[in-house]
Amino acid sequence: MNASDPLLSAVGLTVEITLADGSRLRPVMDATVSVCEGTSAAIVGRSGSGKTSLASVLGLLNTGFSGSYRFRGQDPRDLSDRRLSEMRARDVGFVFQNFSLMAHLNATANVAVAAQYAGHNRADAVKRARTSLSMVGLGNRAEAFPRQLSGGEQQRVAIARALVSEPRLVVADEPTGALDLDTGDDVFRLLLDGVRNLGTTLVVVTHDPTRAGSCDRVLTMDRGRLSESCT
Amino acid sequence: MIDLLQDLRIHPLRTVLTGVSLFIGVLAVVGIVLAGSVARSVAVATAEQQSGRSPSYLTSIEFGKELTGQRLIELAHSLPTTTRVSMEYTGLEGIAVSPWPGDGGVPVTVTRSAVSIVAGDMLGTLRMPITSGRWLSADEQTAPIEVVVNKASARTIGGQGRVVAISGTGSTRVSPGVVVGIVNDGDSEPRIYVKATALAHLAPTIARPSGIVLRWHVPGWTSSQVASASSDWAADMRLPPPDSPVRVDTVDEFLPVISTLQVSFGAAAVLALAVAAIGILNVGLASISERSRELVIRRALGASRASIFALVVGSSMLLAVAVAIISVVVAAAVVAAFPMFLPPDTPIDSPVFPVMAVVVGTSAALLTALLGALAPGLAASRSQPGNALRT
Repeated sequence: MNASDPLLSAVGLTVEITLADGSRLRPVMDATVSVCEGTSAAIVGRSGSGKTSLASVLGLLNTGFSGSYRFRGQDPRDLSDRRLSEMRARDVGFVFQNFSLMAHLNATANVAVAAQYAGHNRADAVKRARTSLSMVGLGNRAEAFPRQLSGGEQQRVAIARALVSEPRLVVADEPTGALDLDTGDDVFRLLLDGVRNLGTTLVVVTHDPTRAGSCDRVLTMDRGRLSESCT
Repeated sequence: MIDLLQDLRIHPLRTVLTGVSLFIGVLAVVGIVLAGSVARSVAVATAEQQSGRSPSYLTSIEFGKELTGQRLIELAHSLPTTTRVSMEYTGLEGIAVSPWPGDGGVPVTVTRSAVSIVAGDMLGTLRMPITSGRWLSADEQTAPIEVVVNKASARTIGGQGRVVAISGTGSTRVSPGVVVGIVNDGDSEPRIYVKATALAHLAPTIARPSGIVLRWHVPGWTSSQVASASSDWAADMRLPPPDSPVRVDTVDEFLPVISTLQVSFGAAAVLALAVAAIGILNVGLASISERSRELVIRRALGASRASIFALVVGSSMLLAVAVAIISVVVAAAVVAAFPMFLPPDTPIDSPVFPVMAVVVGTSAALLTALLGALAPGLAASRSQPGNALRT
């Protein structure tokens, strides 16, 4: 697979959710998209438009869809839970809106967890975690626990965690949503720099058109329908 | 391992409380088994003190004529040594032991019924721990005659070193004796033990028994085997045939009651462990509910269902192993310290380390932890990574 090949491609992808009252919801309808290796794509749209549902499928978190979706040429529905988990650990990194660090682990351990799931032994995982934390400017906060870190620092730990295994894809869901404007800018820039340095593909869900504009492509979700906008 | 330890550190207090409940469960099993064992030992010891070790058979032989001192010595020396047999004179008239005049003892005469003239393996057939001093020695020809008293008798006659006067109605002669030991025979009435052969050698006119009672304690022997052995011995010794053996020990009467008690105790222990298991299950489920976000994140980061299950169950098992190790150490310490709380002349055997109880208790703790962690582990493994982006 070379840089021009799509890392992921979806054709006619539909996500249908059955709600508690039995009614059905289709947050993603007939979406067709492909994202090439090493590029970045922003998914924008109003709240409830299906951005996160699409990102879940693209990031191998959800296999409950119809239509076609292939990640590195493989349909995730064909994989066992173990194989799918391995693929997610090695090939996909996540940055969540609310940081989602583990409160009982320090920054190094939070990052090392992802490396361990990706198959690195503990010593190697810790070494990688420290390197990754240094890359996001937190080398001196490696032993700090989440409660001892600011929101911006926590999100930087989350970026370090997402990149520690040098994944093919990083899925970021509103990575600056819980941060003030300036801190958000810093974090977003750090994320973009990080993925570009590693040649990693980025799919980022955001409300902010300026930040979306700094990506290679902007995909717009509107009531479950996906379209590509000009940047 | 480090992951499991980190998992236990999420809620240190919860971990400690869960460990304590497991610890109590294990100690309940070990303690109850130990208590049952001690209770059994006390009951058996008391019964064996008073009526002989289990099984004990008595066979009586009436001489029909008075035997000489030399014949009495022959009888005592001919008792089988390959089995536990003791002999006691019967039909003694007027034999009495009292403090030697001028020896400072309280002038109390111990009646003849409380003097036992014995031979053979007395301590092998009756459970009589020695409180102080020693049992009657093999030396039967050196004066003064050795005497062993029970605790009640020691209070009236005196203890070790006390000189006593041994007398009988058949003779005006008084022979000196010396107390060489005190035994705890479980008898609240004063009783004195004198060796038959020593009396026959040193004061042959004092004791003129009309017969003997043989006490047999041979584990596994039936009444007919005892009857056969008694008859053979009597025939060999040219004595009249013995009476039919009578089983006199009462241990078997206690055992069903003790067994029932032990089963009841065991049920209580199982209940304690069940409560611990429910507690662990409850804590585990609450913990999983609380950790749902963390577990979903782990799934998103690449944890498989199996690894999440292993994490949750593994941390519980690690805690259980730690508790089991602590329980074994505490149980060993308690058992080692137990004899310090027993009187020195206790008839009961010091409890041995209850290996089986510890094995059962620790296994039960591990099983309890496993059962208590299974449901939370399964619940945790069902965390949907698809929810990772939805908070």
